[in-house]
Amino acid sequence: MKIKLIVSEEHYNDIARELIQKGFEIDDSADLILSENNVYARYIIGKKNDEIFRLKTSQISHVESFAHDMVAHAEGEEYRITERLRRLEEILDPKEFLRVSNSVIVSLNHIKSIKPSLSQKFILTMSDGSKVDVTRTYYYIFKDTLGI
Amino acid sequence: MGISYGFILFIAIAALVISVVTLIYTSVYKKRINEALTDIIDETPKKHKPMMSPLKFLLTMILIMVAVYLLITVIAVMMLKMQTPNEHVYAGNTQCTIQLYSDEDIGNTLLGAYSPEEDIPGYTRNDSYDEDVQGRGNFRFVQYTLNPESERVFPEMIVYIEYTGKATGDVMFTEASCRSEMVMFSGNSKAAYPIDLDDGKGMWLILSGHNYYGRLHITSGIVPEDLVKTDSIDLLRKNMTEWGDYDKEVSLDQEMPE
Repeated sequence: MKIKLIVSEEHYNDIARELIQKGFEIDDSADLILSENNVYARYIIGKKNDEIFRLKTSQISHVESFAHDMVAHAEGEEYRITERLRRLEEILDPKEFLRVSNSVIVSLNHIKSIKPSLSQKFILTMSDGSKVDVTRTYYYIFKDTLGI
Repeated sequence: MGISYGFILFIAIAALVISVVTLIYTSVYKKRINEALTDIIDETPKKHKPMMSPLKFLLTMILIMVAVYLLITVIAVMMLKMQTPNEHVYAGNTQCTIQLYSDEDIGNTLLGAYSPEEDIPGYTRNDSYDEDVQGRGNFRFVQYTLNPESERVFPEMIVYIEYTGKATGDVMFTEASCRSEMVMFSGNSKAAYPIDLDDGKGMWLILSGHNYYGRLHITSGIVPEDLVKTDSIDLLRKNMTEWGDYDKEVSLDQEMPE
């Protein structure tokens, strides 16, 4: 059985060894996740042109959902990922990643500028130049996160 | 009843002020939120003063302007009440109506019992002559103004205009308009009436309503009889000017003589 491990580096080898001994296979693309409290994913598996990439979460600027497709934007490239947004919210560091609409999670570190609009929205310009809207539902969450 | 110029001016100024202030606020807000983002990215968290969203700010500004307007209105109405000794004054009533009667027609009303030479109880009478108006003769102007202590159910002003010139066979055409101006609303009324100079030379005007802040404008002139029967008011006006007309303007917000 395949299992994905989201644990601290300190514990990773011990836990991995135990699981392998018990017949589990450690795989970052597995649906079954074993995670440690306050430890968040550092990598996400993404596909591009049938190639599989191990994306550093620090490289991801934002993740968008288009119906059943999930697209992660990293360093100007687009990668298809399998995690749903709700799962990503759980496994990504909340200090770095923030949900800004029903279909987008952004990395605060990759926001280049914020433009407020009178219609109770923010328009974010990301480091790769793309524009992302913070919708009304997430307006105050975003504002609180920035502490303003 | 219409919207007063003062109200339109206030709306225009308020809209300009709100737009400019909201634009400035939005740019400050944008600067502050970007500073907060930089602090988070640099991991140098600072305590930022909370700011309301531009939309909330805009709504707050509109509410403030409405409050300012209501305050100005209340103060204005209170000042008017303090200036006017009569307790029955209803400052919100800006309707004014004008009725014109010939000497003959006035006989069918309560005023039929009075002649322009007499005082009317509850009114202050002021009789004046304007001589040789544009070379066409004299006009007499008798103004009865309702005393401040009188009941406001009576007409605000009664005016008798009499042509004392020598023209006969023609028609005295009188046109009157009143406009009252209050803090928020304005009202106006117009009336026009011809009388045959062979039948009489006087015209009665009754102004009703509480028009403390406005003007009554009366124009009388002598025009040929056939014009009255056939032509439009615009042509009558033109002829009044050509033949010599008599203009009188009465301020309705002046203090009435004791």
